Amino acid sequence: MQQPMTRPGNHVIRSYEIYANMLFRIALVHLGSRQDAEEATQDTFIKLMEKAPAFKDDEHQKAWLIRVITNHCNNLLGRGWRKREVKLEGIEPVTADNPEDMAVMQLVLALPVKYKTVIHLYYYEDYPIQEISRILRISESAVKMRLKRGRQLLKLELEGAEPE
Amino acid sequence: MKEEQFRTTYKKAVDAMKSSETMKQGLVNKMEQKRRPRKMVYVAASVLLAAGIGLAGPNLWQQLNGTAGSDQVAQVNPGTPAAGTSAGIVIPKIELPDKTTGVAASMVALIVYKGNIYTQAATRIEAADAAALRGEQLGRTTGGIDEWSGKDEYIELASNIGEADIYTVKGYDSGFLVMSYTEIDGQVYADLYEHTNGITINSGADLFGKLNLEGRIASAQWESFSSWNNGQQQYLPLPGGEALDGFLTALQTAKPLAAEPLMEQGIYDSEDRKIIYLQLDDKARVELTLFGQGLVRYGTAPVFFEVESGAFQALWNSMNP
Repeated sequence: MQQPMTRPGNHVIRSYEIYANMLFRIALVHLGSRQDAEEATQDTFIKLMEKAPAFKDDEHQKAWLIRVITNHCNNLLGRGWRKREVKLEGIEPVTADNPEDMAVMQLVLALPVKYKTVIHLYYYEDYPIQEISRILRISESAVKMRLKRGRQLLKLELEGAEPE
Repeated sequence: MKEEQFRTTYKKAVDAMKSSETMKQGLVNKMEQKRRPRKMVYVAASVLLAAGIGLAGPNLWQQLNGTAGSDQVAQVNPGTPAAGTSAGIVIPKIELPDKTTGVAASMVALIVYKGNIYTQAATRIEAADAAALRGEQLGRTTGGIDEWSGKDEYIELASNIGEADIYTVKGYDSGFLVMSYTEIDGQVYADLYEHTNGITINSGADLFGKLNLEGRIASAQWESFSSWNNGQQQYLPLPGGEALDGFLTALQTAKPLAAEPLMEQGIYDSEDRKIIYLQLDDKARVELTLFGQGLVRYGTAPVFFEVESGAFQALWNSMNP
């Protein structure tokens, strides 16, 4: 079976198939808008295409992509980009069916930017603290502090023995 | 709210959020737009190749060989120490895996030419300049290799890049470098493929000599690890002159070191790295990674080069933000 003609960036499309949804969700949590999240996700893969970094393994690439999209979102928000409160935009039809889901999403979206990534990676991607520290290149104690503060803001009652 | 309840509900809410069908097409369009103004064709190492090679470079060679034996990876000649030696480094020939092992090859962009596997090169060229470098036509690839291919599909001009015309590259040995070149709707798509396996490297000249770097640097840039690692693409000018010239000269006599022991020792765990980009007078762009301990790596071949410390430090010290 013939494969399609290779074009520059084919490797980007392959990576897209693997990581696009993960990155889109991270961006969505940061930016609160489907359109903006999709744009941030595309921009991240454009960086991958332009930079074509040499990764040591798949996890390295995944961590790089998470870091890049997180920084990208933070930069957008930090620059006062689209000065507005981050709210769900264009995704209500999905979540509105379930008010509890909607409420939880609103809580996370309302978090200060620095806590969102850690909360998302910890509770959605199930990364342990050590791994989040490695991915975001911040200290483990910083991850713990952001997790702790995020939990407080979300008013979570801890049940497990996860370190704070 | 209890933590586990939050986790479950949050996951459910996030799972419900999917990107639109148009996001991928939007990316493809952006990629096209990015290329069009500059007609830049990135002939970067495949991410998948890089993923296999960066730290685990030899693993690809292992995987492609269908074995996990340590004797299949880049190694120092028998009886010589692993590092700090001028002994040759043997990079074993890449072969497609034996299907019976059940080991699937990583889908590195590759073509088979004269019985050797050429992998996508760690060198870039602008599409607009590709035609000028295009030499004699060597044939047309047939595709046919995929993740499940075995040695029986290792036939001349088989590839995993579909059908493409393959050419020599002017100024380069076709035993080292070839080019795929295609025009689609007036848009040029060109990739460079290099043969850096099945060879013995005794000094930097055995690899860098093939790129013929000395005296051909039109301009140079460098990038910090932080910029590279965060995808910031903050390229800074790297002045030519004594430091760069001395480095390039020293590169030719640099000692090759087996990659695997260095990677096992965690060379990639350190952030003490700088990346330099050398624009050659034929418009090819060569990328080299410099490691703070005085080592240099080109592309994905499982070999590092120990450069004479004075020359290395002079260049290293010239790269300040």
